[in-house]
Amino acid sequence: MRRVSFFLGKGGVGKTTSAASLALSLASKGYSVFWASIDPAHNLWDVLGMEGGHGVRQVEENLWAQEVDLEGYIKGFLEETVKRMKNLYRHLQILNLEGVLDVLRYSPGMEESAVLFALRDILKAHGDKDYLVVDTPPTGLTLKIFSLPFSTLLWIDQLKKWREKILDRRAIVKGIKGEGALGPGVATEKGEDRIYRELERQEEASREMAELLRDGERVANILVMNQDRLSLTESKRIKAFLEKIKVPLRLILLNKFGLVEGGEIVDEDRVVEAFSPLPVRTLPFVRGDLEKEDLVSLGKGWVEGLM
Amino acid sequence: MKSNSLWSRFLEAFRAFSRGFRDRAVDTIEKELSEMEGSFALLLYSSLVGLPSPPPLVGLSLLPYMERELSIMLAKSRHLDDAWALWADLADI
Repeated sequence: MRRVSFFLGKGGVGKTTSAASLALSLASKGYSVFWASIDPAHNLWDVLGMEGGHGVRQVEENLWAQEVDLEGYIKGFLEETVKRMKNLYRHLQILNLEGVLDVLRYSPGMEESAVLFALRDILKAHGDKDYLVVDTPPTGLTLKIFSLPFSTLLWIDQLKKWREKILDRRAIVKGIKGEGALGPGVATEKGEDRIYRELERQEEASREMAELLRDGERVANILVMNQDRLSLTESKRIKAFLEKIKVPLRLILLNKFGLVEGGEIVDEDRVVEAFSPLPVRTLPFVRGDLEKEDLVSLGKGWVEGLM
Repeated sequence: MKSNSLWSRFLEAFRAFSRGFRDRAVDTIEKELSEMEGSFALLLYSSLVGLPSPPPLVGLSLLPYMERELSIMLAKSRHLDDAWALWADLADI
């Protein structure tokens, strides 16, 4: 895969339309493209005028698309966890854990984790494609998704240190009192401790995503905004947040350019000044439904810079 | 003969002392270990008592392997109101 493009921005600015424009433009140039929506409120198929669904579909000769089933990811992960617990926890054999699933499914943070899992799977399954175009949820959730690998790494680092201290002390007790002093199956080495191994597995997955997000060569993050004050303010906030977590932005797309509906109008110069030295490109407002050809022509002037 | 028996009694006494000191030292490490194992579980599932906790996926992924640590944590929380027993245990009474 040459590059992954994430489309970020305030709700309703046209992220899906811009993502569609990039995906279709790249496909029309002969590149193989995978276009995924990780927004829980998807509208990828709506843009293409197709019936909804979660499977992967080929929409053009070189273009595959998918609305990722985040609910399904969360459900699958929880079911697997419960299955492993039943195998390992002796006293849980008769307890009905399935009832707990419904509560866990809606725990804070589950959706962000599911998105990261889905992204990793997509990167693995479709790594042979030239480009991956990702349509993201509105700002709040996307920033949580982007910061999750970094916060997970900080936690895992501390948990691993804590675990190492536990294993050290276990080894001392075992060394002095002999085998069996700690009870059956209690690990004293990192390699045989399932908790330490799972922490390493989680660390590897989070590091992979963190490195990808910070790699300006492999990832092109595109910020989509409109010509209104709220959109500008929120976009500045996104930029500041991404700078804080050291995730680079590649391009600013000023979408629905020319659509003026009262209120304060933010002109192009102000956007250029606010995001300097990042390039700013304008996408004209087009009235009515956009056909595939319209979406391809919307990509003229900015898609080349991302190839 | 006499000196031999004296020597062996001295050695026996020395071994008993050494064993005593060693057991005492291991007792302290074992207590520290059980505190750390209980705290590890508490750290992972601290959201249950209103403290910041790691991302839920980390806690959930580890849950299948946490039986020992959770048992220690729950046993400790059960005896939290029995401060006398805790003190007596620490003082080895």
